[in-house]
Amino acid sequence: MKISGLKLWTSILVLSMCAGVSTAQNKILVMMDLAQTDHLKAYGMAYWALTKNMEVDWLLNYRGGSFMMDENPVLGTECSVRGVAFERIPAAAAVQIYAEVQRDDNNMDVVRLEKAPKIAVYVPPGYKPWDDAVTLALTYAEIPYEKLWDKEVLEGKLHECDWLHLHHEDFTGQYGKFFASFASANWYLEQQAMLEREARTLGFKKVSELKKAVARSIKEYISAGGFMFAMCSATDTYDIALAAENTDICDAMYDGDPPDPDAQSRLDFSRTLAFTNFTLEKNPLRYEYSDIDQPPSDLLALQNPETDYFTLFEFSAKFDPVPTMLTQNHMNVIKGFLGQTTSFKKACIKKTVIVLAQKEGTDEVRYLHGNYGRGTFTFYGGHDPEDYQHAVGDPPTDLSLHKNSPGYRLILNNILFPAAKKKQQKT
Amino acid sequence: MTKLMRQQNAYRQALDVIRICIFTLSFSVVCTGILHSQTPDAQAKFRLAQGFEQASEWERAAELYRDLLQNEPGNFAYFDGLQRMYAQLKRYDDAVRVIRKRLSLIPNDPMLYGMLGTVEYRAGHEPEATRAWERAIEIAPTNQQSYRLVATLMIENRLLDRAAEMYRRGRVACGDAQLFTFELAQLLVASMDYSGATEEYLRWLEQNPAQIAFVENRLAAFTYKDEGRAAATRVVQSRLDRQPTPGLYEILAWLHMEGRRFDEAFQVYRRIDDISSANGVALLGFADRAVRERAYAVASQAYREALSRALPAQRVPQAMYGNACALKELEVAADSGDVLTVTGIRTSGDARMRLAEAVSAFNAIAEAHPGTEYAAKSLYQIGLIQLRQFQDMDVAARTFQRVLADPSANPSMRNDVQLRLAELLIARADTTNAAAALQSVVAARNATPDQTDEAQLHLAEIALFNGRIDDAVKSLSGISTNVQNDFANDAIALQVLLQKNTGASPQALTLYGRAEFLARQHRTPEAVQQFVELARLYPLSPLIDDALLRAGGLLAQAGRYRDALGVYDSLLTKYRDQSKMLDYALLSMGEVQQYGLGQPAAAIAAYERLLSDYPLSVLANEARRRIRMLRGESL
Repeated sequence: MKISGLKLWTSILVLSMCAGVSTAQNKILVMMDLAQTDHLKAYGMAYWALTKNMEVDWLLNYRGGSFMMDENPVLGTECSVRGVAFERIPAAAAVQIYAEVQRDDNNMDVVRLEKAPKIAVYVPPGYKPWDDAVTLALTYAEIPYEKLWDKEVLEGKLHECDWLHLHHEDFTGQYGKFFASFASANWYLEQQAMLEREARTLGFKKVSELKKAVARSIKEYISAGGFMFAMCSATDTYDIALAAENTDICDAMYDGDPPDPDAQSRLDFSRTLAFTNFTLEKNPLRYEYSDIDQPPSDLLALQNPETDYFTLFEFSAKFDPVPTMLTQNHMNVIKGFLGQTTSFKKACIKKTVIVLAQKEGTDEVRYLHGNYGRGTFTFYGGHDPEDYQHAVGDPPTDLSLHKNSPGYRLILNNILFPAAKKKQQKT
Repeated sequence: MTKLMRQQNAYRQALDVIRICIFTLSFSVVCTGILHSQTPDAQAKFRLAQGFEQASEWERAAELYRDLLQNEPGNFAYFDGLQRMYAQLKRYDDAVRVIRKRLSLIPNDPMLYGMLGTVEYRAGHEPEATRAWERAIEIAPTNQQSYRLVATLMIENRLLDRAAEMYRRGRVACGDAQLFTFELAQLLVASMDYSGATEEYLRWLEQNPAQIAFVENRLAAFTYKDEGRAAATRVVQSRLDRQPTPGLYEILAWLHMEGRRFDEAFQVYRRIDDISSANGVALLGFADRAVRERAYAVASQAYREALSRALPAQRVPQAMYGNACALKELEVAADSGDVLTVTGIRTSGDARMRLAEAVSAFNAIAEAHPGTEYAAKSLYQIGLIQLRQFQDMDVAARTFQRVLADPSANPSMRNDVQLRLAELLIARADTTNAAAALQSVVAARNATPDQTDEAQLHLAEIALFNGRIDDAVKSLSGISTNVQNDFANDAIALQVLLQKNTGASPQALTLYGRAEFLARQHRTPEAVQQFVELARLYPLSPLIDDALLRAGGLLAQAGRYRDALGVYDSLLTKYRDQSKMLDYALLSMGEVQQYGLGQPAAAIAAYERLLSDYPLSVLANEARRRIRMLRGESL
């Protein structure tokens, strides 16, 4: 019996496909949509897999930005032990998922995560990890990090890490502008004495001069390819410190002498990363640094937590993978939260910076990202995504009660981002 | 320094003070005169200048002050305003010039030199600043105000170390070792020089030996921190080595207590007791404090040491009782190192050997001080230990009867004894007398709400044991609505059990009650047999989970671990379809393997199976925690 040519070729094709599928690997999918039981620990799982030299694919915009890994018994068990939901995907189904993600008409893409980034957090001695949302998130997700401070930064230790988080530091040298409320508090006095001692030890007459030097070092680190993430007051004060390189903006209670009366006109916006044309707050007793912060800190009482939300923007996964990575989430409207610096006034943001999230109908930008040299920076306004109005001395947030926090996911997106393999741009 | 020299110094200082007062008074009069003698124009200009200054319009304010000063060069207010504006504008050279001009009019004004020093410092001219401040001192080198003035200016310019040095200099120059104690201490605390601050406060204490509490209060500003406390302790110890005083010992003991270093504190209190001839009273006070801080081991040592000294007779029973309670709490604390388990399996060792010492101590009190409140309390404690830990029912019953016979036992204690007796009688299957004891507590007018609720709960249990389910439900209704009391959880659990099963399978419930009664009598094999039989006879009853889990728990508590595993396994296999609590069975299996058989790998396997089969179980987090603990991971 003759077999027709068409049937023969079809058979060969089917056999080839089966052979191809049988050599493909079964996968574990850590989904990041509403089916996930613990989104925050899922990032920790991806990080853990990288530390074990497992390949991790980040499927941008697929089921909330899921992670796909080759199946192995240890991985599944570890997910169970950490409470991270996952699905076992047979090889054939995995192939279909990849095909779907990489289809041209789908706003999805695959990013291969290469290695676990080395993370550093810039924190003062005696800091408490629960005072900072990022260290809370890192600890909960079980992602290790190093701590460093001024001395280490000025010694060049930054270049040993891939990712730097700035604690809620005041780079302007005004001790967080807590003078009006806490001038005689023990913690405030100790902090001031400690910083002044640090400045003198490192050869600076004033704390503000020390912080400027640190800000410059961080800028060099970014320029050389580092990733920097800042939240709350570390965002605007960082840029203010850069702009105030050649002037004194601190009043006598902060640095012992009055500020430069022409400080505003001497600001150099060409030195900043994200902000421009901002106006300094001259009143040393006002809990505000400039008009970058919106709404102003003295109007926070008027904010209504029931109606305070911001929206994540959508980006092209294939053409803008970086902002897409940074905005991966299972929700795109996220409840707001206040901070010493809550949001950024849009008019003060440089045109070269990418706005990632904004409060609808306002000029309040919540989350932004930009490039400098070979590196990048991301600024995220607010203090703690799951504590609407955090005050000094408030108890820490228990992240086990907020395992699916979309606000915290934005922090953790930044941590994995440096692990991503740089892709060839499509031509 | 001799008394004569001190007197001379004081005289000189008094003269200086008088001179300064006269100067200030004259100055005020002059200023007032000047202001009054100002022309209306000048007054208006001055006010305008002040207005500009408040509005932060420094340049415009400076201009006006300059004009005013040109017309009246001797006017201090105008001068001060102008130099202030120049400093604000960072026109330091202009500020220096104005101050020097003023100095040419009033050459020996320390305040002006102080101002000059500040301006020079802010201009970055440190040597000139230092010279100006030194000149301020030279004008009146034995006047404490000079040093205070310059130190204050240094603090304003954040030169904290130099300010401290200035205070110390002033102390020497004025010949007064107590001078500036508090200023210096506060400055040193702010600079985090805790050793220095402690030295200052101890210096003050030397002159005011009764003010120990005050000094402790001041030290507390930094001794809450480890490094602050360590520094203070070093300084106090060093002082003690040179010159021991009772006050220093008390402070050292206080520092140790603050740091929860009770062993060290004990050693200090021994010394305090010695040097104050307290005959153990000081040690007794320390022991009581140690108990409150839950440092039972050292408390017991302290009580015994107090007793070995010539303690006043009326304090002896107190010390003996304190010691016995500390011993008991020590063992209870060891027990509470037990991990909370669903099976009730003990994760720590046998209690009997450890509590013997406590029982012996309580016995000694009852024998040595019969008819006292301490004797009655001691007997009660013995009875509790015999009942709960040793499970010697007969001995416990006799002990409780002794308490009831003791006239010094207070009414509340008597109610507690009745409750314990009821517990005991239930264990002896004498539910009639047990109910009578419980009813006496319910009826007692002096019973506390907790005692009444406990009695009602046990009455409900007795009703269940006797198959009177409705009576059981009725007894529980009062307790379970008041969720504040200690027995609410137990009452609610029992109520749910009864309600769930009264309609569905009343016979199973009756059998369950009988089995539970056997368990209370510690007739474990029979109880287990009944529970297993219940499951066999009523496989569709909602009670099979409670029955088999209880059976497994009883076996585990009796050390029959493999039998316990068998019972749990039967839930997972034979009754899999009917059971609603298979996750509890898996956790229980893990517990038996972990704490009973000491097989961590098998325990991990059980917990992992719970996670994979029942990922949404309320026990999942606990299972995860145990896996990670067994893996040796820090949590």
